[in-house]
Amino acid sequence: MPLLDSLRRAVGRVGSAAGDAGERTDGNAVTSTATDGRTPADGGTPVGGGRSADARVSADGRAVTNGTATADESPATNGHDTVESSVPTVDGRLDTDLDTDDPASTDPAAGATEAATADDRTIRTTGRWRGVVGVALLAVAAGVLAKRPSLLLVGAVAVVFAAYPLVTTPPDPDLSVRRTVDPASPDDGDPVTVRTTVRNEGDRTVFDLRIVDGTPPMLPVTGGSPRAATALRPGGEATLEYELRARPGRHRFQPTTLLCRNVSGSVEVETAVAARTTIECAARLPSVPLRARSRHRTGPLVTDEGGSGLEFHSVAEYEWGDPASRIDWRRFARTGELTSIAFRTERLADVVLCVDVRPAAFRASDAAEPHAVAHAVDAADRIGDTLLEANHRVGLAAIGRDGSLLAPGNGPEHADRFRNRLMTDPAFSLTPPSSARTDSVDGSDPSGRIDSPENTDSVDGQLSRLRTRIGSNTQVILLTPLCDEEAHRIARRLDGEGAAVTVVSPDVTTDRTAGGRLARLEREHRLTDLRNAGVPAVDWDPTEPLGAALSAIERWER
Amino acid sequence: MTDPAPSATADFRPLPTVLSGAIALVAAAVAAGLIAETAAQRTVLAVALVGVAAVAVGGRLWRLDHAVFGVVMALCGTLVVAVAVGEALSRPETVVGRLELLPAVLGLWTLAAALVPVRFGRRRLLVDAGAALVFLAVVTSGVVRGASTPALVGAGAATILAWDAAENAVSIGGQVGSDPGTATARAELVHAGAGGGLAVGAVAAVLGVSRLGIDGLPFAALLALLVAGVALALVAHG
Repeated sequence: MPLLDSLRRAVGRVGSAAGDAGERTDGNAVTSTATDGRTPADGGTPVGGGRSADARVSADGRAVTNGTATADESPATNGHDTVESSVPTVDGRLDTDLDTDDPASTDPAAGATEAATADDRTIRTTGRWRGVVGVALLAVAAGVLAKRPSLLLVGAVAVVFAAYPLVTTPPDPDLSVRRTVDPASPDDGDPVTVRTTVRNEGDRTVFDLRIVDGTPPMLPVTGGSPRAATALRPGGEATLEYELRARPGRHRFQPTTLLCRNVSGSVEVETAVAARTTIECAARLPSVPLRARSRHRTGPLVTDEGGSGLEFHSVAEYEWGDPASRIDWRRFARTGELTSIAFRTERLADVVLCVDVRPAAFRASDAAEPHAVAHAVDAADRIGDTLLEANHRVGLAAIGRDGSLLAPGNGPEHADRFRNRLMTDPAFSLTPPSSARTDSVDGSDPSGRIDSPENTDSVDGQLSRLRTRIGSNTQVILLTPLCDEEAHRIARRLDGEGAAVTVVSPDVTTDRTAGGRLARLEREHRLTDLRNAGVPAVDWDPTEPLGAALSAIERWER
Repeated sequence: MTDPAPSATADFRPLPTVLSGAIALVAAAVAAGLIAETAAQRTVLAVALVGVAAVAVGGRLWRLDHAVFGVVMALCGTLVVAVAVGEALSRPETVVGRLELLPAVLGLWTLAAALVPVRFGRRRLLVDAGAALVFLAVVTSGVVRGASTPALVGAGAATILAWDAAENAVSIGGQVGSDPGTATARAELVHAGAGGGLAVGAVAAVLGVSRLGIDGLPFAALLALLVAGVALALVAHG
């Protein structure tokens, strides 16, 4: 299915671009007004009083955000979640406008957005009518050789069809996508009804529109279809209605892929429109286990050092200089000796979430189940959120085909960067590499390929870079399915180099086959081995809530 | 641990759409019917059409996981088509009549096989081959003076329409699939309608021009005009 593959790749590529443009809908609650006449500043219609945002990418390839998204407005309170955005219309002015007509730059990532928007529209010539010229020539040649005027007439009909793609104008779609999700915050296993409406905003009919809605990678479609093909008059709308089954986690919709063809089908224009919708299903994690190593700044990480804090640590004889507030006056009243209480010092941790995205990590327990990388990226997203909310400094790294590293930081801007990186960086792409697919089809062990010298080098190189970029106090939370020895080696190497490593491992093994059982045993062995080496390892069954798995390790640690 | 799923909709299979596929087969059948002028030819063609329909329906059932029943049905259909081929080679009295029909029957079967599809990687090739065989039948009919001029022109246009619809079925099927829940009819009908309208217009114009008395025109002049048209189309495509 090469066509399907290329389509998926295209979705991924354009998706990263459009995702960038749309991200500011979430990040900027401030209303910014577009200066371009073609970009109306009126917001989308809020549905059911819910969260609504209108992200439009203007013709100049720049993103303007106009929304009423408020961060503290919990999606649990509104039944709907509506986001609207519009296809950029790319025209000849694109390049000049990019340089000269920059809006009041409200976002540091604006440059990236603009560069990406130019890629937003792919125009292809399908060449589907090319063969008809040969047909015409065949008929004419046969007519000439046999002296048959009637065959020449057949040739004339074929010539008409050869001219067909020349007289049909290429499509110039102006489409908007609106999506309603009901409910936006379902419980685990609940059905979620999604209605995606595509509207033709232009004044020309779109004769052939193929819609592929970007369903969240981890949610299975249980009813209806997220795909459709239709024709739209100006102002016409097409609605796709389908059902997803909710799973724990925060699930973002990918950009909707729109393929427009002209009436003869000779030219195809592909665009991806990001209507940023999120389904939150028990996404919040109560706590994240961190290891007691941190920088000397006050924060929420409870350490084993005595000092000021909330949790009792120890009682010691009063020493000159201890603050009076820490003196245990009751004990003084009872026994007459002066003691002072020390509490567990609460510190701020530097954490790097390191996701294993090597081809060997693209394993799934079943073809219909999400693979381990999807689980790991989802876990990284939620763990990162929890840590950032607690004001820890959080970084992000990928170990795999492309390395990626975001140094630890905190604050709202860094949180935006973190989410953006996780969503749009190709290193965190959820599309399995082709080698992983061939390997599993062949039935051979993919780790054989991974262990080849150049790949090991690149993983080692990435680990070295990671090591040099992060400080000695930084902890690493490694998210890996532990499906091969290499993953285990990465964890041990990071730990050996002095970083405090915690492994969070989504379990994608299965006991349905003998090979699956062997893989499960091997994985359990690796987990035990890591724990024996003093590395806390969270064994997370993705069908169970991540929060429960994380708190289990906390109990184990104490 | 099996083949990883890139998304939860991994069960998506790019089967060619049913509506466009049916339109393609009907158009190809019309083309074959227009060039079959004798009663014997029509009988053979009717038998072949029954077989082709069985191949198409049975093959699709096989693809939709009714494997045993579908395969049996498709094989029966192929058997019927084989009988029709045998008949096409023996039934018509003239050699000319036999030659006309054979590529049409084979082309119909190939088109049906393409739309099942028998092989995913060969869908487009089979569509091209099937339409080319039907067109070969049309050209053969023209060369041996088997059919009248209007029938021949109509058959040529119907063949092109059949190819157009079949290619569209493969294209839409490849991009959005043809699950029962996927709405694709509107795009398919608009596409087929536009092509059909153009075909009707082209046939009417061509036949109208021929009524004007091009018999009086020198053959060379007509030829030069057509070659010029083809050259123009080629240049514009390039």
